Amino acid sequence: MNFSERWCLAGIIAREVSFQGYLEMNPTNIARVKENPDRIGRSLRRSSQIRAFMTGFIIIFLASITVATVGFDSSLVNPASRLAFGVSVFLGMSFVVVLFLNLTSSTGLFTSGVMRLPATLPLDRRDLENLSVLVFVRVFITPAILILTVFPILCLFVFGVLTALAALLACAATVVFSIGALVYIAKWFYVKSHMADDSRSSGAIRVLASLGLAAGMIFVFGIGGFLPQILDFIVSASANIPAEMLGFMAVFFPFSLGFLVSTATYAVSFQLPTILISLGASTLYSLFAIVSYKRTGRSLRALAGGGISTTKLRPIQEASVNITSPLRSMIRKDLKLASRNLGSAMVFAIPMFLLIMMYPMIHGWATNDGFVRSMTALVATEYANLFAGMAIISLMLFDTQGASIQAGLPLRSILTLRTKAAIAMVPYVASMVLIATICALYPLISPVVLLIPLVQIPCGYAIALAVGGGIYRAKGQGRAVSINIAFEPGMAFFAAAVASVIGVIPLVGYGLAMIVTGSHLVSIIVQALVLIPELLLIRSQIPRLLKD
Amino acid sequence: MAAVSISNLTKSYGELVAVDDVTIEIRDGEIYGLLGPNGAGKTTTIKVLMGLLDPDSGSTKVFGIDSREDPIEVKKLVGYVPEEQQLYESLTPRELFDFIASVRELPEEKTNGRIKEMVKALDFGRYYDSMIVTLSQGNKQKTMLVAALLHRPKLLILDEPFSGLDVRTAKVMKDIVRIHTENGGSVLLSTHIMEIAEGLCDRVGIIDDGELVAVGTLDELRRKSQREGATLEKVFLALTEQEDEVEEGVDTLREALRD
Repeated sequence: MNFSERWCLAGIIAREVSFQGYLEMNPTNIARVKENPDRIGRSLRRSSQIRAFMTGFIIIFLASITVATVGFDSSLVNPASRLAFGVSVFLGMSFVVVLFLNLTSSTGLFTSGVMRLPATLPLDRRDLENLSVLVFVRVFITPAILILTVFPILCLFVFGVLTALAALLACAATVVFSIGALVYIAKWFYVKSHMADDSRSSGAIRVLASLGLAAGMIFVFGIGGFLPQILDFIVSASANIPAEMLGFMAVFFPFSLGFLVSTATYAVSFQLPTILISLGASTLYSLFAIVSYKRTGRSLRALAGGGISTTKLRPIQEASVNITSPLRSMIRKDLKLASRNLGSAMVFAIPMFLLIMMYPMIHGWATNDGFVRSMTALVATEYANLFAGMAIISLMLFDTQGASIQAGLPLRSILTLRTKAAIAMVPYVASMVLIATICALYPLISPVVLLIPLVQIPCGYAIALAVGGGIYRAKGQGRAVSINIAFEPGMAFFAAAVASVIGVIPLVGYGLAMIVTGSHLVSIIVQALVLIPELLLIRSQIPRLLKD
Repeated sequence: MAAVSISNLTKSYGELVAVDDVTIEIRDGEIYGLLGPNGAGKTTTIKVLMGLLDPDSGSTKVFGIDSREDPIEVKKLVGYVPEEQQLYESLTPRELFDFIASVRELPEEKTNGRIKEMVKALDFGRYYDSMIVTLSQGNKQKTMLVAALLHRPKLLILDEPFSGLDVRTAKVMKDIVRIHTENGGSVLLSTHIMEIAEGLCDRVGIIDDGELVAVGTLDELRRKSQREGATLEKVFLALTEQEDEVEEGVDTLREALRD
């Protein structure tokens, strides 16, 4: 089999890898793929295109901003430190981008079935192993090529040939490291997310891993907004770092490579020990990169034998059941599903999204006014209400699994809805506590301002019941249904609109009372007084919309 | 009282009439086979019976309880194994059974005894704590079966239950169906496998293009199709008027596979 044939076949398998990763990422897709495969296919293509575009955009943006800052911003310390830290930031960020943007596609690589088809073709084991490596190359070729070309080329134009060559070496080591780390973490996550044991620590690891990955993705997608500030902060901070500390930093990746590129450009701008340490560490990292490359190759070649099978024969277990109340069992089931799937775990990352969005806003308002006003807390709380609508939609995503079980169970729709509402309270309470905490970081116009999000907490239950009940009514004529935001964007708008309206009513109560009385204390009491009947009304009326 | 009574059921999806004026009665203690080609309307009939779909007209009752008016009571009486195995893939069978037993509010001690016996009979103990996504098709089917039988249902509805099962499990499954009726339960079995319907069912209803073509014991159906001594497969093809079509398909295939 010649290279072009292998490349072609690798393309087909790479599509399957992306497909498997896509299904792993979002449980809704598993159910929908049979129902509407064309739509899933289109959604997958769109998602791949967006990922490729985002990867390209982020890497080009990272490289351009880095080179512009270190090459032309003369207000920042000396040029050698500027270049060393700028390159280090670029390499560190590239590592993170490659890792998090491609993690979901890589999990597909480890499903047992990916190499099943080629194994039936007249290919020997070596061909199959080479094919596994080529599949990986096809999946990750875009970010790798971009990192290896864009930054060194920009360095060539701004700093010259030697810097470009050193940058190429540093980028090559980073690409190899990030791909090695990616394969390792994807494999680990795949095994963890398909493993079931009774230990609580294993469950906690799964949840933390999912949340860590969710946070990483949020960071990567939000990187564009913060990058100039991050770069500016790190490069400025480097001016105050003592020379001995620079020598210590030169030991670690990616600083050793950053110092190497800077030394290649400005020769003796650092103390000799720092230069020697960076040279030594860079050589060591290059050797590590070669080892990592070989290990990654071995891992990938092992796929030819059928990937990682998570089917293992266990000793015969005591067959028993642990019975609890229907509501608790529903919550327990949903939490287990959430902790074992990256897409579902996103619901618990909602406070993180809110933090990333709200902190700069609250910081800006508090800095301008000199203190946090009630209006700041009211606006932040209303944003959290909007996010709460999205949370309940994310929870409805779980029900695309288990349709066969739900079809046969005497489950009342209101019980399903109450389950979702109870779980949705977790991110809602966290969001409100987070808003109060951020507000508490600044001087307050009145301590009562901190109570605005805290008094609002019961409204999370009302929002969840109203949004969920409305969706069940609109989409399932009152029966409990599942939602896929990708296919039903209208439902997301509906959820956001209902959540905003339900959530804003007590806040409007606060605002009006403030206008009329000017007292924060009276206003917070009015907020609570409006909230209580609203909650009771929703609690009594929503079941009327439902049908079993 | 009849275990199931479906009267003049009609259900359409837009222009397509999936079930057209179907009337079926399943006697208490009977194994009733619902046979029909793909898209004949079997699953739609079952879904209306389970209260998962609303009929356009007609009614469905399980032990006298209307599926549309009180689907929760119907589901309490029924153990349902649907054709599509959309399980909670991220749970283990143990976690799934915990969930089902809790929702059904079953007594723990009795349920544990029952589950132990079923798991042993189905040779399923080794997979009890493995994530369902990692199980084979047959083991997923066993999971569904145990889930459906946990609460000792009066009526067992099995939609294509024998696909993907190994010989041992298929045999155990057939025995379970028989034991269930021996203990006073009733079974509605939808299947494509004629040998199973022939060997297992007391009566058979043949549904085609949404219409109930014939109902009766195998002998009654043979007489109706004028195929004395024929297998159920031949009777089925005759009653659904597919004999010529199948013959033609086989001829075309023979041509295609020739060198």
